[in-house]
Amino acid sequence: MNQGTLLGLGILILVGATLHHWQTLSLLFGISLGLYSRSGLPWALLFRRWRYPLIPLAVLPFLLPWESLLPIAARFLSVVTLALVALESQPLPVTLGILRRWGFSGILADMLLLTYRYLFVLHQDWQQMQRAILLRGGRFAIPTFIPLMGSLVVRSVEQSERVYAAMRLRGYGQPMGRDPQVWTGRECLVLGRWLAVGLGLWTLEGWI
Amino acid sequence: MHLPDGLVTPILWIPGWGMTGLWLSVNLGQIQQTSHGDPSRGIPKAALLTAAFFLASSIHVPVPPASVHLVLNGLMGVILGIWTLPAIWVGLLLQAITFGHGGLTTLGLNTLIMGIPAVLAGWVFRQGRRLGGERWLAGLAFTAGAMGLGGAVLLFWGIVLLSLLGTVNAGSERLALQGLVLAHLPLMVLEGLVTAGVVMFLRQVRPGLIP
Repeated sequence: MNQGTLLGLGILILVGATLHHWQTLSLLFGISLGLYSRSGLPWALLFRRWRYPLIPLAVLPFLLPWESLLPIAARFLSVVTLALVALESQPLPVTLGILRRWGFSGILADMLLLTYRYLFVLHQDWQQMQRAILLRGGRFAIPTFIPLMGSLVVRSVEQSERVYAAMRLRGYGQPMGRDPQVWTGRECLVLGRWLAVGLGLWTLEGWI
Repeated sequence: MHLPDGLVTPILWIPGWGMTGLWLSVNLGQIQQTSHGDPSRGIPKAALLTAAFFLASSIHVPVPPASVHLVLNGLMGVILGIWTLPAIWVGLLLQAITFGHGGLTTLGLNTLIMGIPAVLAGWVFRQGRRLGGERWLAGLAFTAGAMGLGGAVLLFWGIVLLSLLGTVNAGSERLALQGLVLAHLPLMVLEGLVTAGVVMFLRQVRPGLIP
């Protein structure tokens, strides 16, 4: 995915989040499903992502009439689907590289990458500790959660000291230049197309 | 307790992003200042602690007859100090990307919902510790944990009801808010107990981690 598509999808998400009429929202929903289908991502992933945020919507029928609920659901499903296409169809470091070129904070980008990387390592640590408790005849409940959580904090700090030392040895923290922000003609064309779609949806919304 | 995309109106989520962006940029500036222009030492520690909190808050802990998952934003405020807000923002963004919890348009509001009580809880803990010393450590940690969740609940439901203003009648709105806050009281106590437990554990094992 190039930076034109990423920015274009971002614009479409912003436009989608401001729509209210069911006609424009169903059009947006169709576009988002079409894009998802073209992205090649598995449909099971989409349904899994829809599941959790649908929970708050399940409460709303008790508070809202159906005609107010349907636009909320359509808007939410479209935005989730578009966000999934924008963020899941390429690795996170590539997306962050594009964002860095646009001026995104280096501190936040490094934190995001390290957090994402060590989430899986710490998850393994957690499972090991939990298994050790169960093998010793313990039970997983609040009294065992507290020392587990404390150990996880201590382990993560100790690991961060090793990570920092390794990163420094590889030259981390030295000043380095940012990649030049270059837009190719094709990227501009792609961005223009998504801008036109967004503007079209807004015009239709105003006209209805 | 994250706002999904599409639920709140742009009148709310656009200022939410603006306020979060402003707060984050001020916060990152403070980090640059306190680290004398080289924040690289603090980044791995903040990132790994973010991963630890993110992981622990996604685990369901059995509390008969059900199971709960803790928010731990008060504990984050206590331990992470100046790094609390970037850590919460990164954690929420990853939750939105990897699990679909929360959303991208609502990321700003969700950061404020979790971040404001977390930063306040951390401040109360540090001020209390400065005034009362070690004697009240467990009590202070309990207050910070309960405050973190309580503040987040109030902000979350306040924003939800604000976004439904006009579509729901005032009576049922007030009733819903009261019911939801009451329903979260036992969870606030639980969150406080866990925060106090973890802080006391850290005081024994690695006291340097508690600022």
